[in-house]
Amino acid sequence: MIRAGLALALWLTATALLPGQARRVVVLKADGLPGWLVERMLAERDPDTGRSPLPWIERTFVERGVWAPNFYSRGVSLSVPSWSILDTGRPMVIHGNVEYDRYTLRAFDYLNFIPFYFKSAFSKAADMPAVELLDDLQVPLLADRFEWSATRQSFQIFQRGIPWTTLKRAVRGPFPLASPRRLIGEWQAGFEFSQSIQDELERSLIAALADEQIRYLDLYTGELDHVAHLDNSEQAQRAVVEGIDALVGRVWSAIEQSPLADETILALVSDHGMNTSPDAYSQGYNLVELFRGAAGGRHHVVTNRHPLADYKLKGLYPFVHKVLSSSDASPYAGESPKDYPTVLLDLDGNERAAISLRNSDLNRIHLLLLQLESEDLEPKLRAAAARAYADAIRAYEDHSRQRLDRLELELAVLTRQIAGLEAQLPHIADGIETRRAKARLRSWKLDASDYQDALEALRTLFAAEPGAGKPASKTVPKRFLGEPNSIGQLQRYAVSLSPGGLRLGADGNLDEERSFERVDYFRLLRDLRVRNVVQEGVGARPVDFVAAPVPVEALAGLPPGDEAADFAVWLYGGAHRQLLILVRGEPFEIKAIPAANLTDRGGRISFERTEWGPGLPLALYEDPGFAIPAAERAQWLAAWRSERDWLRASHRARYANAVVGLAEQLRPPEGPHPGETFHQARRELVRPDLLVLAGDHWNFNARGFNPGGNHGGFLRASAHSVMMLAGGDSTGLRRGVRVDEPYDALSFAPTLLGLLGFCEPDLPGVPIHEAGPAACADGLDEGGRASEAQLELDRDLPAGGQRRP
Amino acid sequence: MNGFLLIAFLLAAAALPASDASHAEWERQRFDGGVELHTLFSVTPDPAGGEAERTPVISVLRDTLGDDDPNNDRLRYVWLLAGQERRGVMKWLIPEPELGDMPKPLVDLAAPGKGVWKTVLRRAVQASLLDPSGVGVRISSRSYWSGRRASRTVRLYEALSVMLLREQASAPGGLTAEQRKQVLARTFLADSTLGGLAPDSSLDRIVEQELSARRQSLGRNWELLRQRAEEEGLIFQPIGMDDEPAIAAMLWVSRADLETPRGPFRSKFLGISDPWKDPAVHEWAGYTEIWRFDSDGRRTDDDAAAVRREELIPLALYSLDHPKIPFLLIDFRSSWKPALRETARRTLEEAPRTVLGMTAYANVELRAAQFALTFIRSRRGAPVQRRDRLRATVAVRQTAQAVDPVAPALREQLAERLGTPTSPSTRRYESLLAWAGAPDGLARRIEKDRGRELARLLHPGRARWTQALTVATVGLYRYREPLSPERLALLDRERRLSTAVDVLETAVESSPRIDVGVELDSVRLAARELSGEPSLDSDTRKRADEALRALAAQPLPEEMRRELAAWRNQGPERVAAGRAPLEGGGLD
Repeated sequence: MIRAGLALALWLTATALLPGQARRVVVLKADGLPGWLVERMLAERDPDTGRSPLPWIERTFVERGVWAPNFYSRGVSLSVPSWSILDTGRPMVIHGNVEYDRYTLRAFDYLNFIPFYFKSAFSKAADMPAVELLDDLQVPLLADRFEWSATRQSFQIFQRGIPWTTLKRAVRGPFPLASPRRLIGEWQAGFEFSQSIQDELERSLIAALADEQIRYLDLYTGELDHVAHLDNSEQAQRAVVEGIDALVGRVWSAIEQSPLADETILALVSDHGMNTSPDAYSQGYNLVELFRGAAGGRHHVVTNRHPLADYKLKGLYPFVHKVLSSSDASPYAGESPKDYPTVLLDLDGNERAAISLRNSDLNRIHLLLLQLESEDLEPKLRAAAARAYADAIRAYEDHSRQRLDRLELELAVLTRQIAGLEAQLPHIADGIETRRAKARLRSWKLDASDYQDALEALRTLFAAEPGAGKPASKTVPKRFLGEPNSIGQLQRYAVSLSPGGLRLGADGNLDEERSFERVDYFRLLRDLRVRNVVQEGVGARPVDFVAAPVPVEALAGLPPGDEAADFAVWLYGGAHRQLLILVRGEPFEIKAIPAANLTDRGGRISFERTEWGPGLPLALYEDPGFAIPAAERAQWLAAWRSERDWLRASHRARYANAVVGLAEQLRPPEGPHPGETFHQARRELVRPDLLVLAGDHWNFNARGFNPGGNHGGFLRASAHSVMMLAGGDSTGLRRGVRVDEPYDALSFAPTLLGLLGFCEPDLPGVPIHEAGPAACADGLDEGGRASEAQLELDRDLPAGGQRRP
Repeated sequence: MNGFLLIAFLLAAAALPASDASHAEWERQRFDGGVELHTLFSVTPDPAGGEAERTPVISVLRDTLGDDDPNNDRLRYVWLLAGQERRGVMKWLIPEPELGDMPKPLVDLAAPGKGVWKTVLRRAVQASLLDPSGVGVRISSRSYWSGRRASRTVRLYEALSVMLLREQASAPGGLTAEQRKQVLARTFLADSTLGGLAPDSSLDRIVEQELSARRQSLGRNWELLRQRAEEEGLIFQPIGMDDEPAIAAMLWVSRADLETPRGPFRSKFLGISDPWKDPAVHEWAGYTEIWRFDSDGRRTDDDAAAVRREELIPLALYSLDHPKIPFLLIDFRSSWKPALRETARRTLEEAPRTVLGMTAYANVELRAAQFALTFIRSRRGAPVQRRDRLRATVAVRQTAQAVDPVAPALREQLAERLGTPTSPSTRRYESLLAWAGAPDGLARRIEKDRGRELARLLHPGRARWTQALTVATVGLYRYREPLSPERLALLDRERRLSTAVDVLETAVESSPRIDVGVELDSVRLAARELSGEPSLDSDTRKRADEALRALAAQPLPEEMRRELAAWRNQGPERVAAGRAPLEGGGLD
């Protein structure tokens, strides 16, 4: 009896000491909701009534929850990469809205949901493409912590399954057949299917709240992103934000009336902000036309959508994922453009573009082969060309040998995985798991087949003898971009033969310099200018800077200690306006070095180290928003700093979290360990050669026009997003807390999971300690020590962990 | 769909004071019997410093029942007062409008669907009687109605463009923001055959959709034209009022650039021929401008900052206020091409019906072919809707006269080609005022309208079947109740109840908690109003009950809950359904 009583007392004490814990989470995902706009609207009051334009957000999150007004995207401020971090808590594995495999030209179009719905309707897909990729990489979603039957997801990029019932109800919505007058009203205003779907999803979510078994719910809205891209007026964007506020009200009210009210957390989060101004239209620059034209190299360009899709009947085709814009003046005349695209553009990024070019050496090989096919070549030149061709083949083979060997191993593993999955298939219970497995099997088989073809094509290339009678089209691999280009190749990219054709050097060999026309893409892109400069605040240059990864081991002239960096990123803003960002460790430690005239000659990268001063990319030195005082700035910038320090220093600067973001964006893919996973290895082959960042109020949209606003870059307006939490009494979530400490997207998942009781110390993001107790060691910083912020918080908090404003 | 409304409404709601720039002002005039006429005037200052020119644009009748309480106000009629002479390209686009002695109302805001059946009837008569009567009858009748419709459309857009482009000063006691929105929405819908049938509950969304669509069109066209200009080496000049999105743009070519060889010219979306190879451009002796540019390539008036000067030759003027693509209004190398294109478009649009007598309703293949052709053409950016073309033209004509970036000499050129308001007509307004002040004019009209309103309240069943008689007698017979002070008081109370229901419904629908995000005082007043004597109108009663129930179901502040309970307890006992009818009924 006494022991029982003691046990009871201990249990009661332990329970009292245990932090509160949520059992359910509802996540409202507002794509493109800018933190700066929400912040501005929360600061406003109606002069007559004193009310906030966002009464529900204010009441639910600001007064009674946790608001992190300094929350930023990490990496490019783009939907798919950003949601991938938010939804997984892992570093970025997807780097764009579309990715192309350099070896197979397979397009991974993460935004186009119509093919997914179509395939799902025929049971050929279970999850959206981005989720399939994460599954291949064994990266779980937040929702995966819960049983499938305990989740309710809405339509979104990282979506598992399709709620068909909801969709069916939604389709009926815009047609109020019971009321002819209402039907006429709807007709006059325009039937709104998307709103009908959204309304139905909301109804479905609210209904699901009544079911205690449902533990994870989310609702995604892309309304603000859609409106702000097209319409830069304040009233349009504010109207959408007010709509989101009303949504918060309805959902929170429903949570309060649900059975798990006290144990539910509501999160409002966005993936990025929006760079928009009522005083300026966002201006587009057409990179497709640049690359197709003479200045850009007369390329055949692949994009995932038709340029000017809204003005073409072809644009109606919903299953498009690869579109070829060919150049009439291509140097590979006679070859089919479909077989030899040489540029892949990811333009869904608006303020940024990811560019992949065919390996420059492959271009030379192809051009030489075409010349060798010609009968007009004089003998000495022919011999020199043949030697150059053979040298080029050998060099390319040497350069790609390591990858090819690894690929062979990984393909073998993939083949075994395919066999294993085929064997398992009959034993998988019918339903979504079967569909998932079948979809995976199809994808893997396609990969295996495509890669085998690519390897076979390469073997053919390496084995080919010039003048053996085989035409280029049978020798040079088709639909193949080859190895990523080095910095040197991008600085001296071979686009075609020179106007005078092949030339002999004094030594009787081919004169490489005079035989080929070359382009420095860094300079070409950065120097772009337009004729018409018609808006205040919008300059003549569409490109702000160009970024590319740089192999640290090739960098000559790094100071001692800096050579130990793991990887580097080079920002090109002009010959004398360059920045080298060195990165080491995890979490990152970063050092930025001002540079000039960085040049890659034969794999050795040299640069001039310059002094910190105004005019460098990211404007770190002169930006008054950079938190380090001007007098100390050069010294601060000269040292290695943690990513937290960089975030704290730069989050209010013109480019928020840009240094960390660029490191995240251009970090080398993890692994792979040879023979382990093909899917990891493939991540290397979807990396673009160049990341182009647009000037302020510029964009690279070629599909249509986005005059309202854009995102994708590192400008604060684009990177500044929203993160707010509210919770019932038993969740332990603090109340009335404004978290001024800056955080980025990597912190969202560990914070939420911690509040839900999932201790996952391998998640790299720093949980937002200020929000409430975490499931793991509470209040610890990255080093496992109690953070100063946490200590201060604990000192100041009244009993109960609630804070009043 | 017309997209004028948004900016006009917003400007109206801002109620900015009059300035030296062109603007618009609302004026209120009161008449006996509790009626007000609110008129919007377009005000254009005299450059010589004399008195500004005031042109009436639109008038709205507000029935106030003689007091200052907005809760019992009802908007009734809207009159279009704009009427202008046309020259230049406008003559090609638009036939002369008709002017009557007393303007017919554009729309009755209390019964917006009233005109719909007339339009439907007219079309039925055209299709069944006139079209089969021979080519001559068909062509003449269809051309007449087409011209009348175009004229009305143009006058409508002219009025709306003033509301859109001009800052508006409101009169004391003037129309509220909500009322102006209603006027705009219904005025806009008047241009659509079934627009009058759209319920009031759709008006907000209709306005917002149109405003949004227009803003998006302006932005998209701006960008499209700028990019095309850039690709073809031309100079792009957006044109608009200060602080407003540009609604027009010009393309120029620099004389200096003519010397540089260029690749092929692509006229897609531009609609003009290649200027680079055109001898007329190379030898151009017409209007030009000298522009100066600074080192950033931005146009400047500052000689010190200018690094280069260029002589520019005008090529084309476009309206950006057109769906999907900019609409070419003026080709400076050819005055007849735009007109010829318009003629060709109208021929393509109207020939099947007018000349060949093939109507889309009777001929399914024609309907399908028209649909397909229109879809393909519009997908590719062709201006396929006449109404959109009219709107695009009218808006630019107004703006081009008023904006600074357009040099005076060029303005004259534009006026010559587009047509200018040379003699704005005030005849309609004078007629309206004269009629309003006459003993058998406005006062009598409003008395009848109130009588009909009462009739629907007191005898809803009878009012419904007498509606059929009204239709059968083509409007000669209309059932109404005679007025008396008691009945006016009844009308007053019913209107207040109806307003209170609207307020409460809106409040309850807008938020799951009335104390968050909703103005509580107005809700309180509305709830109090509805807790008393129930409405005579069954629909209002039902809505009131539902709204009060929804309100009571919400988590209310305790004080408000007590108030609500107290009002409901204190109110007079509810009268059973089937209240004894008052005496009355009569003929017009």
